[in-house]
Amino acid sequence: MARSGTRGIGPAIARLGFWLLVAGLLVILLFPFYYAVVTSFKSGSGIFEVDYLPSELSVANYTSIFAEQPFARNILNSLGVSLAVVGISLFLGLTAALALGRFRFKGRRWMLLAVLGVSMFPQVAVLSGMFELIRVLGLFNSPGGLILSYLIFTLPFTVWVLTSFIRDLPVEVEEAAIMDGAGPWTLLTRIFLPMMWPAMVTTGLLAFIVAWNEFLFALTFTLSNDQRTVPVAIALITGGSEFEVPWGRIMAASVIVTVPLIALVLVFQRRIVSGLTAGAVKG
Amino acid sequence: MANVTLRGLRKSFDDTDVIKGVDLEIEDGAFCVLVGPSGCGKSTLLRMIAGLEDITAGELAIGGEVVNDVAPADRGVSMVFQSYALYPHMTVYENMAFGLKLAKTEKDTVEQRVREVAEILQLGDLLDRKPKALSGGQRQRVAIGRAIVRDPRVFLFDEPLSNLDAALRVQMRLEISRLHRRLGTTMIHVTHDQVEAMTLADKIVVLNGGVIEQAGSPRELYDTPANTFVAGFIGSPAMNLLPARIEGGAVVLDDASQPTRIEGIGKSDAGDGPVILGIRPEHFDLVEDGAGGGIGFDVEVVEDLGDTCVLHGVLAGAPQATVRVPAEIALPSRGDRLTVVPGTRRCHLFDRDTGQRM
Repeated sequence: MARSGTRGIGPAIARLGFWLLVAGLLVILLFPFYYAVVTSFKSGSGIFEVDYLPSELSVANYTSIFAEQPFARNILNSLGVSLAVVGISLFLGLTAALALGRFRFKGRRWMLLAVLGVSMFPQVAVLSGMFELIRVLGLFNSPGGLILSYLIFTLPFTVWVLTSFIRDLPVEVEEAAIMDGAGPWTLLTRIFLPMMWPAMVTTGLLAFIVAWNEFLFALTFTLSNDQRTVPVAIALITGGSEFEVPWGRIMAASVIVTVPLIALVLVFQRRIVSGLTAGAVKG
Repeated sequence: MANVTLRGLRKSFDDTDVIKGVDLEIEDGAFCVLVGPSGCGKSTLLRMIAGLEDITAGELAIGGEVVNDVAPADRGVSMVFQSYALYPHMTVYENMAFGLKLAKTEKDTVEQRVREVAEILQLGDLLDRKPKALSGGQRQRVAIGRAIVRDPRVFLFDEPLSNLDAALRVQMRLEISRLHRRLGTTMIHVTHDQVEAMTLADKIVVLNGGVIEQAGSPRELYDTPANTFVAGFIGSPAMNLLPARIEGGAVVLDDASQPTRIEGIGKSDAGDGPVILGIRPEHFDLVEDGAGGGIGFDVEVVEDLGDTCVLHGVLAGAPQATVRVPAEIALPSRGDRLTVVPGTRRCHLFDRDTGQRM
């Protein structure tokens, strides 16, 4: 009896510990966001009272960020820039991956390493150079400048993930399509693209998140309120006086820009996992 | 339908010559099997015919028309790949229709062709399935169906049976054979399995190191192998190739610790000198101990196959040899000494230096 008892209690404790750990992690990860949501619905001095449950439901913060500043415009900017970055990254990444993963040519290895090397420079290191480039191209204070500069983060991992994915696709399928009369473009659009769907979703979503959240370049390369993207706009929300930090509105704005990301990840979560591991293991 | 002609075909990758000048005529409607050990260039040769590999030198003609620079899809050939290479995101129907659609065939014709071929291959009920929902044999049939639908002049098979289990392989082999009879199209089939080659082919081409060792009917290759390579490759278990020499019109085994004189082998009047003696395991006869012309054979391993029994052991004290005997006799066991007589009219003599048939 005693032995069977310990056998029952040991695993039970282990499982309890496991779930406690999971619960702890969830609290650490989710509580700040939860508190931001709760705060965003408060008004006035209520913000400075500590409430763990929603105490009031005022949408004043939400209406004021749209009324007192061009926040809708900022969201549109962010959305436009992010989508453009995703589109360009995927197109360039896919075509580059096809070349790097499928064709043998001199310097292929070095090219791949160079692509990876680009992503190792810290943002600050490229900031001044990037600024000059953007000024010369006449892209300062315009979405074009942001799109161009974000590509230096998104292209390296897009190219790498897609290259390793394309390399693992069976060559014989491609050859079968060639025998069936498919040209390069048909091959890319009708054979490779459908097979690469999971990898495209993953890399596209990661690129979107990077572009959506970026702050430093967005701050440096834009000047006027209506060219700003959301992260900068949130940081620059000001209160009635210089001694007041408008926490309510900041929280409301944060919630607005975080919800779409969470929704995207939830919708595509299965794809993301299969895409992240797809390059690693064949099959 | 068309004949296929290879004239001085060569292929090099960088500095490595893979195909070193191949001349071959495959008649219209023939079933030709390219066979050889791995790395002999048989798959490369097939891929050159398909158009997936460039031809370094020489000429390839299909139906009398040189196609060296014709795109794969325009050569009128279709290919079945080793891994089947089905399009994973398309249904069976779409897989088979893909080539026709790319060739801008009318929709009704596509539909009709695909249904027709599906009927032949008993794929009618599977047309809406994706490849991952099919068994190995079904995938194989879809791959063959995709090749047939395009109504090619020549079919190419690249080791299509090697991924199937033994029972299914025998069944698919039969189906391919039936299909060939039904369609009457020229087929070129690559395999490393000599049994597959023997059973399917009208014409076997044995390749080794990028050159043709011998081409001919299965019977020709079995009865009169041109050299020691073909002799050792065709037939299972493999032919015994024993170092020997001709002495005064008879063949004497080298290294034998017992006297061996084998009289009456054709060509053994060629003059004294070293040779290779080839005897197939199934061409030994068991005789009573001490009978004239008998050679001692010490059994080391016995493989009982049911119908016959394969014995591995030592012939005349020295060379390793294999003997195949009918299973009706009282089976010998390990350590037994038997007396065997080679069927002299079925022995082969090869030049020791060149390996060529004498």
